[in-house]
Amino acid sequence: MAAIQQNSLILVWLFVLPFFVAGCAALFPRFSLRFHSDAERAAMAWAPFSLAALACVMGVGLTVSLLPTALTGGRVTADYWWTQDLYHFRLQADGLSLLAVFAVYLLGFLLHLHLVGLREAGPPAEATGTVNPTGAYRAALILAAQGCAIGALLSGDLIVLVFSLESGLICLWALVSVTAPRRGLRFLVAAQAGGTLVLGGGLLMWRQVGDTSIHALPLLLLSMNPPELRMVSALILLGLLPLILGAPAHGWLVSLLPLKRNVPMVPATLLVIVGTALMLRLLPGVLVLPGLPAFAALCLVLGLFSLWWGALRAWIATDLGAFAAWLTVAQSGYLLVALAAASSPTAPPSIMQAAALQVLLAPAAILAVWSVASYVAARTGSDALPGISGMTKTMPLAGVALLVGGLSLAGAPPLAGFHVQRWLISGLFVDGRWALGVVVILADLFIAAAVLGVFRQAFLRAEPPPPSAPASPWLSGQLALLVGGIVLVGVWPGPLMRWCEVIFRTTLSLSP
Amino acid sequence: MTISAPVIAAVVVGAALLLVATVMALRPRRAASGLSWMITATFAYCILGLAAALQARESDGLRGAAVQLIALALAAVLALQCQSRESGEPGTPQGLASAARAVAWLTLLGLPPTIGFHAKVMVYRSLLNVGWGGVAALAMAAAVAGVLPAVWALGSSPPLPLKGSRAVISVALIALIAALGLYPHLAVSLASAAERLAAP
Repeated sequence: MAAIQQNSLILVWLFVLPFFVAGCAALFPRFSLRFHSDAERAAMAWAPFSLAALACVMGVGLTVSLLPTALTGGRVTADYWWTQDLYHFRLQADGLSLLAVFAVYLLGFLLHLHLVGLREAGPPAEATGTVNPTGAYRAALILAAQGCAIGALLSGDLIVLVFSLESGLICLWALVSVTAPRRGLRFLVAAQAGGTLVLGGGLLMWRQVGDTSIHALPLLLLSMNPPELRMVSALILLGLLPLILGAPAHGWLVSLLPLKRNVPMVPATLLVIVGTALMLRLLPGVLVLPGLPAFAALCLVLGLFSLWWGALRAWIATDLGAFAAWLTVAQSGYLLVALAAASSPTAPPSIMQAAALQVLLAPAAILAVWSVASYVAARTGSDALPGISGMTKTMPLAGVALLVGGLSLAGAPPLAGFHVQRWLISGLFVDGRWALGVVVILADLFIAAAVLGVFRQAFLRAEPPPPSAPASPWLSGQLALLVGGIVLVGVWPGPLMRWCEVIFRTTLSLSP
Repeated sequence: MTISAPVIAAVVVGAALLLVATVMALRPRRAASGLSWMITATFAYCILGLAAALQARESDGLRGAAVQLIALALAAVLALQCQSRESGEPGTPQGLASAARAVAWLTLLGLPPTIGFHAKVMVYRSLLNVGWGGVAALAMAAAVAGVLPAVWALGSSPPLPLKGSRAVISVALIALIAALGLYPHLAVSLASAAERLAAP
């Protein structure tokens, strides 16, 4: 009955690991709170975070170990009967899903590094490990959402995809609801509507062709009647759209800003990674079909709106946290523009490759800007721009990280983001979409100007810098790691770009 | 495709009950009232599954209705363990009680990782199997609308703390609902047995 292939244990391990860690994160602080002294609690408080970091390292290791198979055009699959005669619990790792899983694990690893650093640098209540149950609850939810995101990315079946995706969205809703119940409500309604649309598309496809497998999606869709084909495509794509849409769908992001110590950018970047990777994965079967011109137009309008709205709000942001939040919204706009442009029948492969590359590089650059906001807040007690100035001498690394992360988002050479923008803009020009290319270049320039403005205000002004606490080596290490990574990929992009080309040739070249 | 009178009656009753219960749940009332209406709406899914089974046995509607009934029973019993506070009554929220209330609502809404998700999928599939796309769309829309009363209820005063046997029952039910959600084979097998009994 169960067809378990050789690599399935690895896949399942990859899938369940974050859940295990989420359980540890939730359980240890409570145990420590009840049974241990303050000193012991401080020691125990390290346990969940160290475990989570270890899990992320193992996850990245496992992902890399699966890469040779995925990069040669193969797929590592696991196929269980979920319900005996209804549908399969299929998992499938290919080049694209592994790229996105890699991004999620990287995000998780850096998050935990950051949390350990904040714990060390934080006020006495945190430093002594006095456990805040809400904090443990949030940590567990973020980790569970990461696990569900990985599940969705590895799903080989539309029903499994909806199951994983909605589980993750429920975790994020619970997270958002802690501080912003009304925004949480809007988020849950949008998430549930999106999930139901994808489910409806999957069920309609199943009714027509008797299968909901993602691997065979293009061929399955081709065997359907055109009206039903359009309906299925529209349902699936409209269901996934709210995940990537920056404005207004991710407006709740800014409401999370008071929670800087819990690094609230994780939910937003998770959603953008997962939404883009899933849409790219379903793209060959759905978006390039010429039946949905309206969808490309909708994607383009929403993408340009997100891009410019995010850039404008970043320009007028009055603190570093809000600046990073609005840059995240702008990045989701870039992704939507790339997806919309890629749906053109004459679009060159570089546009879709740019979207795939952006899945990995945008979170790294956003994380750099977020980390600077959190680093400055941890050391000076505030990240409000009017209150900070002249920090070049006291926090030079933070200044470099802000410049590198922000300018990478704007596509400045020789940083990693330059290659994304190069692929995207050259693809648009090759496709004859000059106006759109110029709009994207203008947005890049606008974002670069906003980054330089914030850098000048926080780091270059002549006023004396605010008093600051000593730097945590963990936080400094994270900033150095991010800066080094972004510069390294920018200067030596070969392996990553080849990976994206292979993704296009294998996963994305299935287009009918 | 001909539709017999009992089938028409079942579809009309099921759809009307779903519509009325969802609309009533959307009216701002006490949280307990919203829960009662959502239980009624969930029961309507069972009726729709049965209607699909009456129309065509191979539609799998009977099994869908049975799994939905299992999910409904588990969620209702779990919800009964949670006693609401009077509006505005002070009190510290208890994690177990809040979790029990949330899991009951998630099951009724058909959201993962609960058995309610599989129940809803099976009912939708059975409706599509007999070609009732409109009814399936109505059922899906009702599931989305049901999120609003759920969030209002979950955002209201926290339930009273669960102690003693109530706590034990709640933990067992939460575990069972999650286990059946992650491994629905058990519930589907039970439903298959029910189908064999009902239509040998």
